[in-house]
Amino acid sequence: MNFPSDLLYTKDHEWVSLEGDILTLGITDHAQDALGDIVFFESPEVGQVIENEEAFCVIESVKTVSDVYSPISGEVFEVNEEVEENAEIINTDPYGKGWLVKIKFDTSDPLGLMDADEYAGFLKEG
Amino acid sequence: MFKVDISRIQESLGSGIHSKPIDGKAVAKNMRLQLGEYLQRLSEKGIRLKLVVVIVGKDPASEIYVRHKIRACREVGIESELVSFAEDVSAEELYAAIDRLSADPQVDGILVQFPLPDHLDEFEVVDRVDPEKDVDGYHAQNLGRLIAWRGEIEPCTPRGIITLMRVYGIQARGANATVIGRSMIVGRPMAQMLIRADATVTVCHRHTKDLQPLVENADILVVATGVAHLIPGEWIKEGAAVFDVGITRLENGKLRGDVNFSDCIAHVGRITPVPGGVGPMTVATLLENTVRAATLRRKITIDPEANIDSLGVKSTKENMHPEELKHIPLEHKHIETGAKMVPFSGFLMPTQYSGIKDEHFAVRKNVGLFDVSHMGEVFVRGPGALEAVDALITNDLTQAGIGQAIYTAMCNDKGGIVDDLIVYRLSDEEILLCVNAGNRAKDFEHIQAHISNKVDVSDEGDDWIQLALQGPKAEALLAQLTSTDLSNIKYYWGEMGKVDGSPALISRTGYTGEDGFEIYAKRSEGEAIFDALHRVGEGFGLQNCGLGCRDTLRLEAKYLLYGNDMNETTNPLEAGLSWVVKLGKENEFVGKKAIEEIKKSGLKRRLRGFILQERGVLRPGYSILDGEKKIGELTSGSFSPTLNQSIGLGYVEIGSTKLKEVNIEIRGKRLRTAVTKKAFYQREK
Repeated sequence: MNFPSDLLYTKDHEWVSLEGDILTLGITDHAQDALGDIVFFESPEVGQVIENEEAFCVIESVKTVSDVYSPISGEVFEVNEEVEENAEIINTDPYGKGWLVKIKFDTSDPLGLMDADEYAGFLKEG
Repeated sequence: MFKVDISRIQESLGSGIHSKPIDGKAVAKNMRLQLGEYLQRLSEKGIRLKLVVVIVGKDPASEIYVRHKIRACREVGIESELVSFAEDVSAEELYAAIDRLSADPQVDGILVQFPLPDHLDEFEVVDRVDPEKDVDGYHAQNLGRLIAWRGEIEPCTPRGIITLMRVYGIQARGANATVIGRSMIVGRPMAQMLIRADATVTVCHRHTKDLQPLVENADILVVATGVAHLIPGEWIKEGAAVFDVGITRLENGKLRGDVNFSDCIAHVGRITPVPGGVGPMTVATLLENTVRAATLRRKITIDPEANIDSLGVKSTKENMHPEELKHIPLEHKHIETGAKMVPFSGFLMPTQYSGIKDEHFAVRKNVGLFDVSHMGEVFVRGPGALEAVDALITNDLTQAGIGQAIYTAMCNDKGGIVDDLIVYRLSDEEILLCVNAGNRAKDFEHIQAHISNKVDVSDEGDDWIQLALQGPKAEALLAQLTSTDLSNIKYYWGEMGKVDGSPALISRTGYTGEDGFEIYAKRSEGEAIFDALHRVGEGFGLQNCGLGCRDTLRLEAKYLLYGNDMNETTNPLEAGLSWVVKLGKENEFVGKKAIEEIKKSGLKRRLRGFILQERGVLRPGYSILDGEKKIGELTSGSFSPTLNQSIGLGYVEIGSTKLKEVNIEIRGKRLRTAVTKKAFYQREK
């Protein structure tokens, strides 16, 4: 399983990349594999204010429903419309075209995230 | 109700299951493990079991046996107590004590250690014990029930031997069985159990004139005489299964059985060693009897398989300890081929291989192979089997031809659905019921409680594998492996045939909405059939399929799922199953009166299909709304790969069944949803 080293990871199996005050968020290879065929992404509204650890959008695969949690408080800046149209992309390219949302956040807030090695270790612990 | 899980024992033996010496010690150990786990679950609910052993006098051998039994109880978590009497205790005093124990609600089992002193009549003493607590199975009532094939508590040693036969796959049906010794403890009950297991039984004893030919004739030999090496090895038939109950301590301290082990080990099929064969099974079976007696008497309904979850592949997870899971015979095949395995109905089952959609389309376009060995097979046999089963089900089995199958509901007396099942009329005296995995134990109890006592009912789910070969290319594929003319097998008909040389029941049935076959075979044939299908299957694009796509396939075909779309509070009429309810059939059936009542007073709700018109996925439990008013709930819901839309099933109240469109509420949003009475998918014929 692939966990790119230039990304950060949450315990809820999401990946994060940072650029200034914009955080891009998607789900990890492990998460997409566990969910199986993803058929629906219920996106948040652009401009929606979200809290740290809030379940703010939903991914559904054929077999199950899964919430996506925000790792930070902020405001939804952009959602991936291509994934809204065709949620399968999350399975095929979870770290690239399968990104879900961009969040504008206050860079002074601390981010409690794992690097790729730590995430791989976290998965092993189960 | 506690039941020993045979497949789990087989699993625990690993390759040892093929060895000639029968490892009674290992089998007993796994039984004790299963009992211990079950007792642990009972104790979490505050239920503690207690066995009382009554001993009279100071016979040193008896004292050893008793200590042994008490220790075994303690190890699995059964409380035990020893009640001793002096050698010269009067019958009155002993009976008074037994009466007290019989009346004590805290006592689950009473065991009187034999031999008793001469002034006490053993049979009378045992008959004094409450038969529900008679864990030895010697009470007249329990022995009588054994002969009636209704045994609940059966003598430990022969029952332990039957368990060994089941574990090691020793077939009693049609076999010649010889039992040497006719004691009440072993020989006589053993003969009864072998008769019940369809063997032809010869019982020998001290007056038997010529023992040798009777031994030579035996495919199954049970020896319980206590005469060391009474049976020379060369008497024993090539490939026979030998159960040596006797145990004699020689002067040099060595233990000897009744059979000369070393002289026959080369040519027997299986043999129990002494020690380590039958002995440990007797004690383990005593514990099993104690647990069974307690669950029956106290009406404990906790099943050994916890958390049976009919929602299965959906988001709900079964939180089951891995050791509590049952295992289908081909489990290792699925793990090897990279299946995702999940607990389902108490079994570890493949949920997907390459992906649900991929497997789904393999079945719609080519052919897919499902291992559905978790399904239960119940056989009803004997004269009158046809009528006996017909009286349990809503459909009319008497209208089916020999070899035909029918889909039907089985109801309780309130008209609620106990299970939905396929019933095969193999002959008028042999009927096969294929039941849902999660309902196996419940169904068996329901059947036994309601069926005519003249027929033999046996739950053979652990002995069978079931493979479903489904898809437009299923027939062409299977035709490569069988000489049975498949084109002759009509929809919902079956035929005994061979698949690549392995005997199997081949029926044109399925749960996918495609053409295809279900193949039933003995578990020993499972791997050969599975491999053969794959060997030939490559040319047909055969794919392994898991429970994930089984759910999407069945939902598209609008096949109901027990536990989701129906349960014991659902009647077959509201579930749209009136086509399998034959109120006019000749035989009365369980639930008929209630269903007639329901029909007369009118239905309260009806099953409908739903197609979501917006993006999203329907799931069970979502509310169905007509404007602001809630008119029902979804019972199934998923994504249809064929329609590329979400579909579901649910019940709507009777005033709203004509609506063409409703709203379904998903996480607070109301989404437009079309209502349909038809299947979502219909294959082109």
